[in-house]
Amino acid sequence: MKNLAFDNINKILNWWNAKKEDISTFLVPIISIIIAFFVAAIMIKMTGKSPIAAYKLLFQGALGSSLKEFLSLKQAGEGILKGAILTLTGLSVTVAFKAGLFNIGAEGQFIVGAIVAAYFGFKFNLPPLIGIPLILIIVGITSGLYGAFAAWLKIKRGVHEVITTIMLNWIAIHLVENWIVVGPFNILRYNPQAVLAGTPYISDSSRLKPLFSGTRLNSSIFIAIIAVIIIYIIINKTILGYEIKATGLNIIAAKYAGINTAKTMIVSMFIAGALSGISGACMILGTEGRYPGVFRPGYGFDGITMSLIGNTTPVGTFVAAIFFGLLRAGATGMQLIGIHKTFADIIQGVATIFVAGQAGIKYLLFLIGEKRVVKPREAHDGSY
Amino acid sequence: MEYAIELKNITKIFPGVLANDNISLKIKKGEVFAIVGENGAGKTTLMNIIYGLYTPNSGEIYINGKRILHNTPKKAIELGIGMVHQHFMLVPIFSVYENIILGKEFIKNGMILDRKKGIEEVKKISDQYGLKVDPKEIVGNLPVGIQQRVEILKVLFRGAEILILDEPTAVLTPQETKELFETINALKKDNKTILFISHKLKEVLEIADRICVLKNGKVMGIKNKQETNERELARLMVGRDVVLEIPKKEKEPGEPILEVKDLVIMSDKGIPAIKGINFKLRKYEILGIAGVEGNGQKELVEALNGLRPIYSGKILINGKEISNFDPWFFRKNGFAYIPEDRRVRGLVLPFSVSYNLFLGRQREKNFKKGNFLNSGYIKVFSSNKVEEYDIRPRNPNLKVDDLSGGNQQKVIVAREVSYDPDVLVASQPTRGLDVGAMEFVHKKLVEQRDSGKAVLLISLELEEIMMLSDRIAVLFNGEIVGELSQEEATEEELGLLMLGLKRYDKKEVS
Repeated sequence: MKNLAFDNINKILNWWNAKKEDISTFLVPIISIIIAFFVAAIMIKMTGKSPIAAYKLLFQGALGSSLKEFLSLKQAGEGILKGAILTLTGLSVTVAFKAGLFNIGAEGQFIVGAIVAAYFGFKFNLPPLIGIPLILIIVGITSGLYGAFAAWLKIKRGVHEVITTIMLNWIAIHLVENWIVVGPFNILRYNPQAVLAGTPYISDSSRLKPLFSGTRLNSSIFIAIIAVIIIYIIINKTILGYEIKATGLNIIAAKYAGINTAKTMIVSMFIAGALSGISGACMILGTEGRYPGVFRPGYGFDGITMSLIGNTTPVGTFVAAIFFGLLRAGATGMQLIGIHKTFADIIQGVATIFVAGQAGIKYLLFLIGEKRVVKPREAHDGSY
Repeated sequence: MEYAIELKNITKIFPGVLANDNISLKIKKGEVFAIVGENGAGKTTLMNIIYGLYTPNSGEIYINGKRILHNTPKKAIELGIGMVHQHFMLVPIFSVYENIILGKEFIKNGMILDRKKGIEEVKKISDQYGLKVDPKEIVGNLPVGIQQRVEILKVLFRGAEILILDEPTAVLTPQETKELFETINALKKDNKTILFISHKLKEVLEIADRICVLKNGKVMGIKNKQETNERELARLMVGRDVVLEIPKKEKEPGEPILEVKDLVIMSDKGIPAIKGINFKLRKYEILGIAGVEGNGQKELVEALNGLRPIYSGKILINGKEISNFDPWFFRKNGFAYIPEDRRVRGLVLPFSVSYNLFLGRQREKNFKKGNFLNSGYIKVFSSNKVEEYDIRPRNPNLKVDDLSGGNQQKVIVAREVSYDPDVLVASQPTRGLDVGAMEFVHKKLVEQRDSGKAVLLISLELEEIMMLSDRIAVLFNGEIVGELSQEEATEEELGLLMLGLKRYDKKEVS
């Protein structure tokens, strides 16, 4: 009997040893998020509130207080909408990452996409099925070029993309918010009686309408899902994806083998920029209806987190984005007992730290499988 | 009899690998004991156990008859064990004596470094063993052979009685090797015990008293020098008969395929590394480029890859001048390459074997289907190559990082030969490979030559160059200082050329 038990344990250990690399890629983000919840719980406790009550409200705020409410998507719709926006910026970071580039510029590309969408959404008055795709294509090209510019600078001038994309973020923010929105494209130029600062409202035909009443959830989620599928196919099935991965994993070997790594980097940053831009467009065409006076949405920066927690894979990014979209929407519910909604940011932040430091979690996970073989005898027999 | 080192049933297990399997050895005082084996046979692990860097899972270590428990490098040094690593542990901007006394400095007046005493002591020890060095010379300016001498002195200065030399000849020219062997003999006379790790059988047979062959962590045999030969040792190492000399077909070289004219290439520092060289490479021919590391080989290879721009001169292939210095342009015009650094240049390690087998060819007709990878063809192609090149394990879906060095090199050779190139540029194609894998690569190079390709072989291994090349050009200080046919070339002559002690009149090398 005893031997049988040992055999089984050994079998499990062997299986674990063979699979631990693959399994830990899923396990690490999940464990990180669980730890993050614990850390946030301690902080909530320190403010004198009950973490259990807080998390209950968080849960209800995210998904709804009953199964029926959940299925109606009235409550969850908000989180899914946020998740769709985050998916697109997250994918942007993921695609660049696959080519070995760290796209901190999702925020800037998002803003470029948002202002371009606001402009053409205002100018166009076409049937939605023609107008909206057309706007998304224009946005994709503009933001794509904005992203590709950073790759071009890296190739031509050798400037690291982290530096350039951060700088391009600020260029985009200031050009748009301190000039375009208050200057040439201000609402007052079109409607002198307007009260709210920002750009004029987009035409009704350019709007992504709510899918059903009582929620703001719109077809952004379909755009996000289509993007996930397309990016998945590009990365895993196409020649371009093969070249992107080769460049990202070993640029020297890729170059040596005759792959045009410069072109590959530019193309992947173009795709990355386009995705962030489309994310911004979804935000304007769906939620905002125009580029508001002060925007600073932060979805671009959050995209980095989604990509990292999603293990820089398209599907993982999607799962992480929907999860954190729901979490943020639900966090509003915690305000009922006086916990600020930014607690969601703490959870997200702590989870990111643990994912980034995944070597530590992996080390602990791998310890499980370490077989302790015969130890050297440690007896001191008086000799050295 | 008391042994310098005695190992009893040493076993060392790394997760998933049995690195040392029940090894028992007795090493006599004052002998030169060689340990040979393929890569991954467990040589380095065993040395690290003796030096206290690893703790064995089981087994006993005795030094000078005393059992050692909880061995650490510090304890090993105290017991008189010294290790000379393959990669030197020297501070290049320090002088020779500073490097030697580092960590054991002489102090005067409580806090001031006594330089004079340091220099004296270093002189004393260098005279004692006949290891001539200038104590005040800056180490970074010294040739590799002398740097190694400094390493040995460093170990002796710490009172080592047992010296472990890990692949000491890998970086040396034939002349330097000869000098090292003289040093070893001098140390032996002084009753020092020497552990000599190598995979070069000729050298081991020359210098060692006894030779231990390791394979898969096991001792395959311990032979006295007089009772064995290269063939037997190779068989023990690999487990089968190894062809040490690869027969070449009698072929007249055909028309020139690759021509290099007045080529000048700059180094990273912006000074000329290749100073106007000329050579021609023809069909049915292997041209070997010999030379000590750092005489322009790196720059030459990179320029022929398209990874480094040329400063002036011309590269012609099939009479056509290369106009676009991009790796893909070279490949398009009939170049293929076997790199010296397979893990950095040759392979995308996280990719599967299958993906690596067509790296760079993904836009060729067969490998694509529209914009998609043609997975059906790729599957057939890679399982064929895995079979044809005997890549083990026979699973093209395995991560290439999980393969042994020899099998990784086979993946590269399979890919590059499948380009069906006109010129195959092989740069140190067997670096770090064991005898079996080396034989394979050599066979493939000769096969390419015999089938009418031109092969450019750049190597630091003189033996390899002499065995394979039809002609040998020697690179020294960025220039070709001599060119010999295979028949003319002797180790002596090439050595002199490599060290710049001799040069032929500038003639058209063709």
